[in-house]
Amino acid sequence: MSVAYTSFEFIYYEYTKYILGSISYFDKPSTRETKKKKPKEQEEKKIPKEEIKKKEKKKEKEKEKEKEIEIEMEIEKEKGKKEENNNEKDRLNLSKKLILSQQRLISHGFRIGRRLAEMYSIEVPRLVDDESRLRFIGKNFWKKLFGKKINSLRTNHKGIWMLQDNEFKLLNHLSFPFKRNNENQQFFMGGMKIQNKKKMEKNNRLKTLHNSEEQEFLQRYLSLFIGILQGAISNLGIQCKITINCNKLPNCSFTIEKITNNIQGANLQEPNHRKKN
Amino acid sequence: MKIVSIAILGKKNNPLYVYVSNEENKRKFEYIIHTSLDFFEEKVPLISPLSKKSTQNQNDMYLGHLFPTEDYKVYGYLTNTNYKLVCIIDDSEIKEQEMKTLLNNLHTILVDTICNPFYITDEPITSKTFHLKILDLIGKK
Repeated sequence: MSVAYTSFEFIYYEYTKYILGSISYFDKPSTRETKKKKPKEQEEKKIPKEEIKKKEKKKEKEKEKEKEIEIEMEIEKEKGKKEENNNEKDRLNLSKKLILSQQRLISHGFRIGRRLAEMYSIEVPRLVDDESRLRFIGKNFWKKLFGKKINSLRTNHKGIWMLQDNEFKLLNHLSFPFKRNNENQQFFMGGMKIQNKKKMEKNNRLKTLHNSEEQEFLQRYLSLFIGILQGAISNLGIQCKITINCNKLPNCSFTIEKITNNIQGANLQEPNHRKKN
Repeated sequence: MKIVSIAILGKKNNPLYVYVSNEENKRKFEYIIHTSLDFFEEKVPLISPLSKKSTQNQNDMYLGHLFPTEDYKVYGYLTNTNYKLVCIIDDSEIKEQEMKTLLNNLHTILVDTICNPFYITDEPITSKTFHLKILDLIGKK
């Protein structure tokens, strides 16, 4: 039994790496293109500095210092402008690529979730209400994927549900290499199994996500799973929006909002893979 | 007992697969399948979730008044994912368990085709293996 669950995680990690790996989080946008430009800029700037220094040394020393400082300030301003433009363009390209990759993952997950829901719904008797359908997802669906059930299910009775899992398996072995402001680089572990379980449990629950980068990374990492959930729930008859809240890592809560208008829910269809985009 | 036709309908009541033993009367059976859709919606709220065998949704439609010369029985099956299976039978002597096993096997065959990654959902099923499997189901009885 345990082999089947670890295989799902393994496939999940590799699949997301394959699609997200084309975009590297560790290369800063400025280092890519400005590497080519730096040597050219340095050559151009050496010449005026030398000419100016020779002229000013002959005249006076105070003026030399002032003019040198002014020239350096101008050069730095020019550098700054160019870098800003490049950074903006790189950031826009990165953001577009990340959004596209996220959408691709969600669409792939939608197909997967749809078929998983059909496979697992044979064994269960008729699901009549929306509550019974979400209980099916919370108990049967999660048990088959992760080997455990959800810890809590809450309803608003107005179309909003919240599933909470205290130890989400896909987040068990995750670490963030992002630097934090005003701190040394730290690695943030969630849910490692160590001999002193009590200490680690306390430490894990206290650690939270500080940066917005980490939250964005989480959403991209879990976008496949969001697609799986959307596919499964929409196949059972509920069109929905799903959002994730993870403030303390192994804890994870999914909020499911039901879409009642047909106009809004018309976009949630399986993509046609015949047409080549 | 002769199984005259089997049909699978999608979520939006679009026909995904229709099998008819006599191809001359194909349109007649398609018409019968179309009229059976109303009965699915009537019987859904009556079934309680506590009953174990509630996945089945039996329709006994005696079409004596429409077709005075012929008698047909129509059985239906609603899955949790809103796929509708319809089975039309010629004779009148049938046990419920046989129908249940037949429709359960049909459901498993359907799921096998849906899990095929090359199959696009909500489109008619055109695979030959699916057709052969259904012929095996019918041939046994």
